[in-house]
Amino acid sequence: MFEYLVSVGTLAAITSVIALGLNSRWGLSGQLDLGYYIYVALGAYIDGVLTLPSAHTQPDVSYILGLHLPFLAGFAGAGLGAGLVSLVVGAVALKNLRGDYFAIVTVAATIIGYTVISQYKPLFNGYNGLYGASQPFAASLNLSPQGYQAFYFGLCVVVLVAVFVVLELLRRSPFGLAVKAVRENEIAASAFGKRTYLLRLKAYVIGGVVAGLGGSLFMHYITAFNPASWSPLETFLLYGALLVGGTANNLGAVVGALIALIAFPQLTQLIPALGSNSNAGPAIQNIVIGLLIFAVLLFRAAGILPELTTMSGQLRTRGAWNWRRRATGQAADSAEPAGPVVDPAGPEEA
Amino acid sequence: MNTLLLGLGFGLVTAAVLAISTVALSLQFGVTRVPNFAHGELMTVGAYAAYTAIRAAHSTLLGAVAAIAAGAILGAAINKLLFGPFRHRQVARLTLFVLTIAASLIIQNAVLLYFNGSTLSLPLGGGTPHKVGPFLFTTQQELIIAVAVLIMLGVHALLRYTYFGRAQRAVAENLSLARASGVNAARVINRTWLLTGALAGLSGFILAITTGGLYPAMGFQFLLVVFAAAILGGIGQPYGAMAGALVVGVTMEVSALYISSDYKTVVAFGLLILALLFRPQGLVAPRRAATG
Repeated sequence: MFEYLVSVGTLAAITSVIALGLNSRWGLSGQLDLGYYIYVALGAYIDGVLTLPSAHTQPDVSYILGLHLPFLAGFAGAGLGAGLVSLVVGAVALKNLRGDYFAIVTVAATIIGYTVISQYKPLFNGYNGLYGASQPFAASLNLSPQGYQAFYFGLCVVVLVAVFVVLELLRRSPFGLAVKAVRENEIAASAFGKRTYLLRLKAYVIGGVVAGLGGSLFMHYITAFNPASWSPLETFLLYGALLVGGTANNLGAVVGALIALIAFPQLTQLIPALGSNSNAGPAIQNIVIGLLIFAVLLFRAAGILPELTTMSGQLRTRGAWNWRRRATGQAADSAEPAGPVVDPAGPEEA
Repeated sequence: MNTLLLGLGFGLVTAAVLAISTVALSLQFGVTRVPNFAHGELMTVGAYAAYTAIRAAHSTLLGAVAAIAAGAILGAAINKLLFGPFRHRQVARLTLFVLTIAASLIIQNAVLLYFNGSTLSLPLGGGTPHKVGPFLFTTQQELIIAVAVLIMLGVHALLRYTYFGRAQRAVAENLSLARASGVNAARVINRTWLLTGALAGLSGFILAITTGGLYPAMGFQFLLVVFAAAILGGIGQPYGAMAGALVVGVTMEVSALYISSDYKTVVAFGLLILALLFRPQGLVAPRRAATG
């Protein structure tokens, strides 16, 4: 039981990191990026080729690099690599495209990437993928297998907290407000002198870096990564998580990931297997997520934890629900010492 | 030279399948302004309906009828059940797009749940190829091309000469103006979903015939090729869709001969991205844009 909980907990922490990355693209900046998961995959692959030993030692295996570096180098490389690819793709795609056209291009780009990664063996070993990833810090810790599992869980939680804090600081920074302003009204934002293209691109790259870091953690969690273990469909599930939890709210992204991507799948595993159909589990899970997206959009379009419209702290504001009181005209200022309500198009930053 | 002709022949068949599906997507987008991500699932359901009918009745014609009926019903259901609750709210177009993604997820997995994931094949013989002009075609392929041409002519006649077609074009051009002129927009939209669902269902059946198999993600995987053709032709432009389908279909099949057939979707999506970056108004630009 302990092992099971630690294992699910680790997956939950990694999934939350990945959902946070998507939230900085879709939530903060409003980019409907349907190809997000490829950056997670890139992170996993880049981490893999950096930390695995050279491919020449095994027959019939081929991948680039194989530098046998320590985990931290792989982790940083994954974030950096995914960020660089985001920079290139984003620079092209965000220049001219908006809304659904942008979405279609991202999904097309993902499928191109997926096909090339699976077919072109010298890059990341094609369909067989990478396997045998190392256990970070295992050599210097010398723990029992169970102890190590618990350690890795702790490591993932530390990364999650760090990513969360950084993204939350960014959200509240002048930069975050400017990105939101561009999301709400691009013309107004540019009239106030914001460089909208650059702001969108930055949010896109930040999302890519976080995705890469999540991918790196994922690589060392499952120790193998190949095209069968991910598909462009994962991105849709992440959107389900964000919509359920609350788009553009970092805490909401984590809550949504825990509910839609961890709790639900674990619960559907309790459903007895339907005859010989081995696909029943994932199929039911996907149907439920589809229905969940529909229900959330219908009944609670803002998600469980709606986006905060004040600059103040996540927990403090949420406790007072002051955005609601303000909206309904009940005086909140006496109970709430929070910062001013943000005008999305306001010129609060030079 | 021979390989090129062979590729062109394959390309024409692919273009025929693609044209039916793309015209449906373009018509539906033109009238409703929602990019339908569940369009591929209309095709999948059409194909599986045809498979079930052919298994039960051993008639290809009945299979086609089943595909058309299933597609039409599902199209109307998407309009009524999925968009219906959101009709009287002010929702962003992106929200409706996300809704169609949810529908795609639900339908695709319902098919997976019901028919299992393994590839099924249609019990149809292909016939022997024979020479038609410079190309080699089987009777089946000739039939597919003929059906596609007929449908294109039919769509043209519908848009041009019937009240429904005129009303459709009016709604596509300007919804509130059409309403003000006495067009029952809700009914036009509803019938458009029926029509485009039927066309998509039929194209799914034909896709299953040309590729030889059915699987739950078949429509989803084909969808992006359809989007590529629709966008290349200028999305919402039925005539552009035909041109886009021809270009994408032929390019995909010809490239498969020279590169590797594994990469033919890459070529299609590459075209899509180039089209969006450099010619977002489509190959056949609407007249409106030309005159300003």
